[in-house]
Amino acid sequence: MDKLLAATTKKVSNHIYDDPAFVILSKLPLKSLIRFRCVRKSWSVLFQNSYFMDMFRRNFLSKDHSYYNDTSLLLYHFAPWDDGNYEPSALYSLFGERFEKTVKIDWPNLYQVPYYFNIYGSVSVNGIFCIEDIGRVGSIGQGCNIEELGRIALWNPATDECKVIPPSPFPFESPCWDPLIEFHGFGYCQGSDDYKVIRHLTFFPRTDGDREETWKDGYHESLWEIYCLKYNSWRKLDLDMPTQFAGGAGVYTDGVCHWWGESESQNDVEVYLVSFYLNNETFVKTSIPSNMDYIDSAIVFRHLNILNGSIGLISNYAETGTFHISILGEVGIKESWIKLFIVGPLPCVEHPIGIGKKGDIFFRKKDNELVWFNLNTQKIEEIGFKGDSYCQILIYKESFLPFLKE
Amino acid sequence: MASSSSNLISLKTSDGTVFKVERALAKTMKTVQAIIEEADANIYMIPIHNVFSHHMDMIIDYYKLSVAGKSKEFSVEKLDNDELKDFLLAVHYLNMEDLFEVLTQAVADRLEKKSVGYVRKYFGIENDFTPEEYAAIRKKNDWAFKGDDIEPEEDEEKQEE
Repeated sequence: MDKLLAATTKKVSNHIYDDPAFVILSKLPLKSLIRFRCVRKSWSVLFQNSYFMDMFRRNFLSKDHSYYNDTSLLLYHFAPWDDGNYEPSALYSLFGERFEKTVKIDWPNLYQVPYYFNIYGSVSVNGIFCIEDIGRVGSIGQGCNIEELGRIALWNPATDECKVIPPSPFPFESPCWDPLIEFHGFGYCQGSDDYKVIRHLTFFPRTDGDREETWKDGYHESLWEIYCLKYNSWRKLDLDMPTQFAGGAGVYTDGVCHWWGESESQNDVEVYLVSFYLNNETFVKTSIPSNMDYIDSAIVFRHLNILNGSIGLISNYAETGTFHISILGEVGIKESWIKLFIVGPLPCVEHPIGIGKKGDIFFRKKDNELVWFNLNTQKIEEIGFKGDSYCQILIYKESFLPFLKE
Repeated sequence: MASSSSNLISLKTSDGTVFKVERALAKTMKTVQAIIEEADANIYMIPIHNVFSHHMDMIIDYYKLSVAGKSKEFSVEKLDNDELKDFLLAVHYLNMEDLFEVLTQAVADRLEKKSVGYVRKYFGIENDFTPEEYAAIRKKNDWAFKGDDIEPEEDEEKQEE
């Protein structure tokens, strides 16, 4: 009997899950785990325990998050300034075990002639896209009327329901000033059952020949404008909010639009995650801790994404070809950024283009091949598709619900 | 030589009940499997310490559901937090991987919004911070204690009175 007992004790201590408490902790969301640091000393240093962090990372990636229920991946490709051998913008559904299959999705037939569109923000909200028309087929590159700038629509590809948004009066308020219209967010506000689009306008003096009078107008304030589907109109927003870093893409989570913003202070440009709440039209800034970049690289590109339901930041240290991925525990709390993954070096990889489900990160390589990298297996594979200039991977949830109310 | 003619293994729980279980189920219990393999002769009955008959009932339920491909239907909702903890410890002792994963996740879900005080009691842990150390770490992570649905700390509730 004793021999048997001894045998079982020996086997139990080879049990990979020695301490059930640690296994339980590794399955908690970030906020709870951070709170429980205060339980006891050994729990306060869990993030430095690589065995524990491996468990936490695995659980984080494999958890089924409702964000991904019934979703598929779309690949959006946009390259209007390239040699016109192929389409300047196209949308594809991406599927197959190794994402090797694509099916093209046609743009809506809005103007009775084929048009190309840009997807605002690379997000789909309840299966709807906010699209901007970038010109008639065949006329790309020929320039357009200034008044044609910023024409947008809401479109559901599953039902083909499409609503052209009336032009905003603000960009063209003054004939002496040309607007730069920058999309910042599109989302759904549950409280008011409304869809909203938020944009930032900057104005530049129109130089028309030798019209010197423009300078007499003085300075034209930049402004924020918001469109509400319910009222089908635009209005100005009186907010001092950091604008989006040029060329970045924002993300959307349940009623909040997020983007990576910069604002100038004394001697410095400060970067923030800006989170704009659609229900009360207020915003919160989250800065990043100063010790986030402990790698020695002068060039850092930041990409905002959603990683398994959480806001994730991919920092691309271009000189070393490594990517660090941090997730945010709570909006507004700079201490809640936790660095979870270090990917690379991947020398051939240029930049990330989006994150799929369960830890699949898509990148564009220097030779334009698109690849996917799985955070669990650490394997990288080409998907057999090339993407020039600007591509994005989008999470799309098909919806057959009408968004227009008669 | 261990008996291979019988497909049933007898397991005796702490409260004296004998369960005759299929070999395949016994195989999911690595602790039991180790005992069987170590034995030179036929094992008549394997005692499983810290495992009670109500635990075995649930283990058998889980096993039947997973064999039918319905393991997602297994629920521990009816167990309170302490009963769930005891069940988890039994499954941990038996070294049953899949059920262990299910139960640890269930406990994590129950503890998610709980206070630090509750968690200490639950795991039977003493606070080994000095008051100064605790105050410092508490302050540093203050944001994690705030939120509508988070259980307030007992000592802090008293301070507000």
